[in-house]
Amino acid sequence: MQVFNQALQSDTECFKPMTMPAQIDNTQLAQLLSNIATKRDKQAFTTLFGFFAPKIVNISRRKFSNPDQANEVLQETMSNVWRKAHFFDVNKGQASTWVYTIMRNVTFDMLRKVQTNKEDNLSDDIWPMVDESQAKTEVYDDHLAKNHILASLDTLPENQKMVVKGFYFQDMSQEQLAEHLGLPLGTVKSRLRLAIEKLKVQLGEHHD
Amino acid sequence: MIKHHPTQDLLQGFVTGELPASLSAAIAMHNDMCPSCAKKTAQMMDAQASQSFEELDMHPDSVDEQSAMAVTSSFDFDDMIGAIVADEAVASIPIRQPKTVTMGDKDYVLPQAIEIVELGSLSHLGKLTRARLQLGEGKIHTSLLHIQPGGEVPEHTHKGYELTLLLDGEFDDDEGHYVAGDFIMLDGTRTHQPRSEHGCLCFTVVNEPLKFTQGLNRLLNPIGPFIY
Amino acid sequence: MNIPVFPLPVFLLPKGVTRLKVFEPRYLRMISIGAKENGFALVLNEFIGQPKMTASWVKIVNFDTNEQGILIVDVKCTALVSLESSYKDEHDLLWASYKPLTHWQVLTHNRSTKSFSQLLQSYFGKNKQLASLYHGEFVDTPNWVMCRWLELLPLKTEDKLYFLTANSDQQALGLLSDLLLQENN
Repeated sequence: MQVFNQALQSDTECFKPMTMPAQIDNTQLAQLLSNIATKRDKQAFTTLFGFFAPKIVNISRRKFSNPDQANEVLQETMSNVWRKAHFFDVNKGQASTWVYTIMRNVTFDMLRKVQTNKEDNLSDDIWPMVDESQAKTEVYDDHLAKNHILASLDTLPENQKMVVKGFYFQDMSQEQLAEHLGLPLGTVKSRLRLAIEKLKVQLGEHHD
Repeated sequence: MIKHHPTQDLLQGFVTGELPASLSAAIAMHNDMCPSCAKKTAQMMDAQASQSFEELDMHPDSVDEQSAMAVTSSFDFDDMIGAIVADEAVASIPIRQPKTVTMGDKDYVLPQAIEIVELGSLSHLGKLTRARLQLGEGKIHTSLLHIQPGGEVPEHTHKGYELTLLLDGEFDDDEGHYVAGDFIMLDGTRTHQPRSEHGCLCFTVVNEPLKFTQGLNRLLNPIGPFIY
Repeated sequence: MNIPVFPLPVFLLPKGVTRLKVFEPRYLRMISIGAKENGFALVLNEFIGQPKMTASWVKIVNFDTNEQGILIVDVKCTALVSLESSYKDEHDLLWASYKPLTHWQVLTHNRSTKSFSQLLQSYFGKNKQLASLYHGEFVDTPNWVMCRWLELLPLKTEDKLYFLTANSDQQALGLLSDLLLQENN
């Protein structure tokens, strides 16, 4: 299947870091994260790595006497940055805080493993990187071809917009149903409500 | 309204990840119910992140980047970068599986912070039901404590600390009335005797065995190990 | 026998078709496995985490890539199945064993179902995209027509779940009659 190979193919060209000031520039960091998320941009990742790696190693060295463990924090933190960059939302916080959160979580789980012998990775639940609303809906919406369809909606004649919206969400809108049945919207709304109430009463009678 | 909040020090420990899992989870659950502490925590996170990552530039004398790099010179950063970016998979959004616990004939959906923690079997004592959270933190004991309507915990003090986070319902003690989200941290200098008119569920963290102040309890006191 | 599981808020009854956009590596893998082997299952959020999940077992009927090179897949529900013993593989893809569920008996047209059919045909006539998803095919049987109506109706998914159960056809008939056939309120 040709198509799958294409979709899974990756670019393998070399990646070189661009220069990055030592001071934190959250706008630039956010741009790098966004490039990683949308383009799997290895050069952007190398730049971020160059900026954060010495800092993370330095901070971790104070928590773990074993240098291997400090390196493990670095590897795990930066690997999460690479794999989770699409979770970062510039509207919800600063890029440096996001990287710090990942480092803190990795450190917490590793210390917990050392101290209590528990490998439960509790940090993901105590400090979730994805908030609940995202967790429930985000993946699903995209796979329903919503973004693709919404993007092309503007090019459609007005009367077709509703149809496309409805069809991709597997639902007609109440307005469409009303129009199709030639009934006032209010009538359709109350019919829908009454029909469901009736169904629930019937099921209640059967199940109780 | 929530009136009892974690102290600034506890929030700071939460931000840096230096508190035990039990207290971190308690603060996470409190923050879910308390927008003002959640906001404060977010601000402290930003400050902590800036400070941690800028520190090297502001204090070049402490442990500088050169020596940090020297420590890690035994292996190659390029190899690490190569290994990381070789992984094509992006992380998927985790599918949560909310866990329900039945205590005192009521079903409770556990907050996310503790939903994967293993629960011990239920112990019952009068109107109290307790389930231990198997966090494995040694002397720090963490439990879910359910009080049925009209139940109370005998008056006691603490050698260490006792944290009570009210997750659901309400209770009273001599100092006042508490609602879901209240974060009540007591040290060894105070006594209390919570009673719940309509029942409640609490998350408790205790780091030392309890002392009971009422004479009878001292003698006949199954409650001590029960609460600790 | 196990099949991959795709959690998705799509209410899909037997013979229903829906269009998916697939970009996550694990779900690309799922599509390639499903195309070669035995399809996959769409499961509603409402069932996730339960020991037995009702799901739509689907086969791939069409695929294409859009301008951005993203895979667009049309899938058709073969049957409703009960999923058990789910687990995640090393690629974070959910798998489960499946058992086909019985859904509705084969119904014969009556005056009501003929009206449902006419209303649906005229809706397909006005909605070219919907019709094209079915390649212009309209199956004029009461089962097909009622299933498509239930998928399309603007009801909350939680209110549709009951129609995944066996022998729910009489309730479906009642609900559709109340909604589509009443002359006045």
